[in-house]
Amino acid sequence: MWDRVRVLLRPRLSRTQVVVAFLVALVGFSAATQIQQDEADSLSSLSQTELVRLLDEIGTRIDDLSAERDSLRADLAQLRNDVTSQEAARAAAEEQLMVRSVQAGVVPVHGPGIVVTVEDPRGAVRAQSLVTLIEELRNAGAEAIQLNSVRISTTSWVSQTDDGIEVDGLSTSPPYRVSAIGSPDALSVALEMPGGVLSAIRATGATTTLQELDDVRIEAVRVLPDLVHARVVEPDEEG
Amino acid sequence: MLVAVGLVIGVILGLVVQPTIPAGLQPYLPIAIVAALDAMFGALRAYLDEVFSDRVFITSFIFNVLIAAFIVFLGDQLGVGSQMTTAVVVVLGIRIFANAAAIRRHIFKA
Repeated sequence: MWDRVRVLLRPRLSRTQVVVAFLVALVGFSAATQIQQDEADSLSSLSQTELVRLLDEIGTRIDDLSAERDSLRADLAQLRNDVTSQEAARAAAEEQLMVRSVQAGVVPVHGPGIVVTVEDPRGAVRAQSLVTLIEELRNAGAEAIQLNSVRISTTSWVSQTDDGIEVDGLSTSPPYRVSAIGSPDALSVALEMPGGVLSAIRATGATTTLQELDDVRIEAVRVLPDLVHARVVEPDEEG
Repeated sequence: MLVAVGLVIGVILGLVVQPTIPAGLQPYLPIAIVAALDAMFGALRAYLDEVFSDRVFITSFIFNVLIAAFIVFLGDQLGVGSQMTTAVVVVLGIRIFANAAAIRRHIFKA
């Protein structure tokens, strides 16, 4: 057996040997070439069917990824939209908070307006006159009013007592200094009209001065009362 | 001996020259190589069985290669090219294994 292998490996030169060697060399050559080819380009060795299948798979994959991208974009747009509307809602809420704070009188404010000073050495001015004065200011669009050291708000009241005038429970004495923020022209016209509140006050013997100012400061603030009785109606309770 | 030298020369040539396989030939070359491998293993087995014939080897080599390529070509024309390639490779692979087993029995007596 090993003799035959040895014989096989012994160099011989014949026509058939050369032909066989040539054929084997051809195989080696082709195999080497084929292996190189495979390494160089794996696609070119695929058959038409396989390429079509590959193309289909890639197409499906592209479709899937496109759908995913679209849905993600929609999510992103949705989230951005949410953020925008939330910011808008917050801005509106802040605006509301500011307006309500001013109306409730819990924050100091400043702006154009008027200052009315009522000198009343004889104590002839009645609470009713001050109420009328405040009402006229409100009618004329005053956004914030202060009477001496008291901030006037929606729940403010003025009453006549034996000792003089009380505003929101605080005893007040002349001179009465009323500051109001609003259009100075509108406010002064409302107060100074013939037969108006200031002429009525002057008729009692008091003197009034009215200044229109570009910047009136109203520093007095109120503390919001605790609600004892009133409750907000929830939307689902309404129906 | 000359055969081994031929094989080495062929491989080296292929690696050095790096020829481009023509596109029309590309599906058939791998099959042709497997068929040639089969013929070579068959030849080695025949030699160890002491029935080797140069004539048989050369003709079987060429015919195997051509028929394998033709079968795959036919398969491509019929639209079952890849399956036909697989079939040919399986058949030739079985033959190669059988030949290799026979050669192993000759060499190792087991």
